[in-house]
Amino acid sequence: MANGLTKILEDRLGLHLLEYDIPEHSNSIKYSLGGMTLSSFGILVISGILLSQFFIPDPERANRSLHYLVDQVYLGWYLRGIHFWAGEVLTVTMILHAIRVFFTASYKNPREINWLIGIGIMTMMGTLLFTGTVLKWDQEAYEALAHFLWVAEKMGPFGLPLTEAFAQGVPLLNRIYMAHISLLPIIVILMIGLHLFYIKYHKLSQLPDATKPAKNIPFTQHMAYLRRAGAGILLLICLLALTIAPPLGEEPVLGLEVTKPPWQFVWIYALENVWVPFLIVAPPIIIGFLLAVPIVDQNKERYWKKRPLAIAVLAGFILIFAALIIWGSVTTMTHSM
Amino acid sequence: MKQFLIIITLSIFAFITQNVFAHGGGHKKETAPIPATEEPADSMYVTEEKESDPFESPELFSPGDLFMPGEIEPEKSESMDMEGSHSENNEHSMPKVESAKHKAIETSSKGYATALGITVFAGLIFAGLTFIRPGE
Repeated sequence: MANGLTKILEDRLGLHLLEYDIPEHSNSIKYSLGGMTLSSFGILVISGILLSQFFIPDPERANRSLHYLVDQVYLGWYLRGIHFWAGEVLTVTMILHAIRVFFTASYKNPREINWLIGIGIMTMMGTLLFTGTVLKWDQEAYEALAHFLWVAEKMGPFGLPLTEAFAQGVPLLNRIYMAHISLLPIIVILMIGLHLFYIKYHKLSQLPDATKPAKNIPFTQHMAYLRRAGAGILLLICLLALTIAPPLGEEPVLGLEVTKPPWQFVWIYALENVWVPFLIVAPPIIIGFLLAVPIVDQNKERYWKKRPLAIAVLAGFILIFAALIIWGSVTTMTHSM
Repeated sequence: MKQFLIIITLSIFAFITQNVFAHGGGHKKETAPIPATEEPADSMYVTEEKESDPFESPELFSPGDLFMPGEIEPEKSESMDMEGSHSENNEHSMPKVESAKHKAIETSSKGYATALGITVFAGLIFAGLTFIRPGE
């Protein structure tokens, strides 16, 4: 009976199409980091939809509506915590996923396009993180936006659509909210769809040091593994939300600059401390560098021991970022913007 | 002659009062037009008119609603063009603002028990999938 029902559902829904073969090593943590990132993104979307029921995207009331949510609404603090920590976990798994792809040289022929899409997703996730930081409209949010607007102003006509002058009379916070809950998620979802399509099309890359083709498993088996990994991610996020409340300050005092950005952006803060124009040039240089990786690296080798230069670049990249994040976290800003 | 004097007197009176009645009677002050830029200070319409056109109101974007062109510049010149450290400069001229930090969740938070229950449930799901591993 149950088998008959399963058969009917498989036929009607086309579930048998998910039975295609993939390499066995896909059922490992390092090859499931992308799936874990997707789990976090799903949690972000669901918790974000719930949060939007309580958030007022008005500069005069945004911060107060969040304080009300956290202090007065039943489980409001937990909901906000889950949204915040899902963003943090997503950042970590996404970065680890990109490092794994680089380390195993999975961006090489024929998967260059998927690397570029991945960098695009990473950039969009960073933008989502930034807009989410601004929406809480406390001192940190105000300062983040002030810096952003300074950069947009320096970009001249290219930066105009990002400023309030583009739609006079409409508070910028409203437009940022629209981008955060609508425009950016739609773009990210489309890009994730494309990313998954090309993973299916080019198949998961073989292990770099494999001497013979890997043993295969059906994709449904990998889905079961990802389900467990997703449950682990959910548990981690719930535990963090239950124990540590995300930062939320009072309404901003305009003109002051006393806070530091979240750790994901604190490296820009550190660079800005060295030379203010880094604020403008550093992000595009880094994104350009990442986009150039599959074009510049034409070495056919994929095993890390046979790619000393690439691994040195990766190690240097990680070390520099770690140093900038630590320095940015402990240093005091002394600059003239 | 007497009739002529009466007619003349009545005619003069009629011409004078014609002007008066035609304007509603006796409002000599209104004959002097009020300049267009001058607004009565105590009129309720002054406020209403301003509210009806938000784009011309300088109050709309300050201080809670910021970032209209021209507004951020003066503030930036006072506080964001800094030569020394933030804390040194801000202590004298700006109100004290502390950056928000992570805080430990208090067990008295609204719905803490439910949140704990949801977390335990998530843990049970993960534990179940880890031990049973259905489909793997």
